[in-house]
Amino acid sequence: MKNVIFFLHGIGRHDKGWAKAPDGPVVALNEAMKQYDCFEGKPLSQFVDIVGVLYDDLFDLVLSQWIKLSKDLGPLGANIDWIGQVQSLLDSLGGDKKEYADYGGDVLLYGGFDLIARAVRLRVASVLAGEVLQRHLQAQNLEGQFPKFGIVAHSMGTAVAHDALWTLATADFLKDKSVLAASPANAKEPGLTATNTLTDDQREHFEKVEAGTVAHPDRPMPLPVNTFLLVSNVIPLVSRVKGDYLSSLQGNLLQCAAFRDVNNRFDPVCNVKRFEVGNRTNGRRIDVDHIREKNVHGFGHYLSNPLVHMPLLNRMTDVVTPDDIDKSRQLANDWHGLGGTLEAGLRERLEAMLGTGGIPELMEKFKRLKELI
Amino acid sequence: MSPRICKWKILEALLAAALSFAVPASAGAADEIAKLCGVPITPSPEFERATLIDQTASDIASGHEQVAFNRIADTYERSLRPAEKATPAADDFVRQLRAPTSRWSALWEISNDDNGDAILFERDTTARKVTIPCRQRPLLAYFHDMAAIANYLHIALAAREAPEKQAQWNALKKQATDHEDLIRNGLPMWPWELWLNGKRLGKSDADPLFKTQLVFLRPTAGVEVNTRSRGLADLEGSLLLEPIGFVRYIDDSQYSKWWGVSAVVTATTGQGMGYGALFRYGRYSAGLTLHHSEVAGVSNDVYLAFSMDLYGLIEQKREELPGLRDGIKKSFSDLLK
Repeated sequence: MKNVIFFLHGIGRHDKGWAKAPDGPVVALNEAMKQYDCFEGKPLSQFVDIVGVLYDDLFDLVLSQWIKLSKDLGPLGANIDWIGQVQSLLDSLGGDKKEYADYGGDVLLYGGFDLIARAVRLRVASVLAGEVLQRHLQAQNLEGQFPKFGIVAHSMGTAVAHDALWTLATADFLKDKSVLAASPANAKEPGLTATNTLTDDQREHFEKVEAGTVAHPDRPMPLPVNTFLLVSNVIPLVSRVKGDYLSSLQGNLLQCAAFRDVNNRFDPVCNVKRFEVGNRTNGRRIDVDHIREKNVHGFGHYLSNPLVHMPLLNRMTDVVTPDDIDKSRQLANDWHGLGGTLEAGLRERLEAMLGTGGIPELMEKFKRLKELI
Repeated sequence: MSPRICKWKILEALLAAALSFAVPASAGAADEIAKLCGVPITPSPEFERATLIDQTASDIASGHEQVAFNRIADTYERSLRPAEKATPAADDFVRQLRAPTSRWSALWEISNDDNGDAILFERDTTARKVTIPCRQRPLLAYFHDMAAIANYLHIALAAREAPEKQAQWNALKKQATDHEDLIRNGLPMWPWELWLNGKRLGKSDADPLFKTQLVFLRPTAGVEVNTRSRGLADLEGSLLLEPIGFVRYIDDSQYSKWWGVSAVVTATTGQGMGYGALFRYGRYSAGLTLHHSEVAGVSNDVYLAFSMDLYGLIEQKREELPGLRDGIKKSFSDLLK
């Protein structure tokens, strides 16, 4: 089985194929891989299974309902901080959902509304867990290798991925045994049910394990993340959970083997409140300072830098040699400051945007960056 | 032996048989060949996948993992030269086989560090990691064997975890679906209602979603009609505000059917403020309100209030006169002036 890389998007609107879109992360990685002999000119999909996780449709759904309920949200919610901010942003954009998303409105919805945040976490967690489950089922033939799982998350997606993984690590979904029975949820995913995926022997085994989980109900089942690339990390501002997934343990094993906090010093978004690796032994910061396009916050812009893509490709493709790593370090020497044909004043304009603060400041950075692009 | 234990024994035997018949590591496509440090793993014959399955699969499948691990450890130790046996890597690897610090399959995952070396037990916070130096070529045979064993244990233990993962996913998917159904199919919530109902969620994401949704300061457009006097029974456009109430979702409806009760305050142009109760079924609601009466000796008039949805339905059914609708629209515009 191939290793699996999940991609999680940030703000803005995305469709199902967003990860492989021309301005998406996979194309940026494919382009970067051409520089290294170990990949023999093959694209990323030859080495890993690519899963683009989508969750922004839930934000759209809520916004559609609000717009339907009333074009004007009215004054009733203005006294509650988060609602007031959502209302004022939507008002200023004339109810345009896409504009709302591009200006970072999803952050307000995720940060301010527990019900939305939970629905998003559960959506992402179920996509991750579903893919992992398929590999576990395939593992029963004992062929090949069990895959490693990597997650590459961008901007708001860093917090969403973190929170979904925390849910998988801590929530005991087997507490209520009634949900194990056939359910409407199963009917919606006919490819992954106990009844039609497992053989008779496997189903018997399933029942045995089910009996075991009844005996040991406090037993969440974590997802073994091998590599977690946090690109333009906003966990300190946007995460909604109280725990720290990155250092969480399953027994004495780290649930996340390694994470990388990727920070561009000219990116106004992730520097509003910088993430600190602290004393986590499995983490490391990757500091970059390249400006190859106006959207210094862009997913692809980050991944094009050898300092960013090589740690991911090295850990997830299993074909990188020490020579390739040496080459990436040489290439990285050219990835500093302004590059390409960008105007000389861009760096100063980006520097002028930098600043620290809270959610309002984060929203302001999204807005100014959007205006710059 | 109780019938139940006997059944387990049979099941274990069946599973062991299934695992024993598994196809050995024929791998097939070139891109599925396991690699270490960028080169294909070529283990000694005793650590080829088919041999490992033959010698240990039944023990692993039946829950006797340690028996299987010890058997592998014995073979591996015998395969080492004296100089190799003394290396920290071999020593730590054998120690993990003899006393694994975890039964989680992820213990046996082989990672790659940023310098290009391979690492075993990267997740383990209590034991030393085993580093396989990839810059050293050719890669020594005992590292190939180590990687072959680790890969086998990784997948064999992952296979054992499959049923539990299936159970977890079933429950998780139901939970996710419930939340999305509520947002997609349920009574649409104004922002403040969404905020308020969100505060009622349990602490854990595994806690079941509520079946009763709070209604709070909910404005609705409606019509009211005076029930006391035929002469006064003109329909009037009305702004209905539900200060507090609830809806209850009907089981197995995927949050698409509900009934509910709310207190209601109304405002009309002609009759001023009123108050009462509103009953809701699905997207339709109707209620009774009291307005100050203009009839001498009568303190209140009773009005029948409808939501616009319900009124629209009635109107559609009765094919009412368009002029009446126009009158209500005019009444609304007067109210909002």
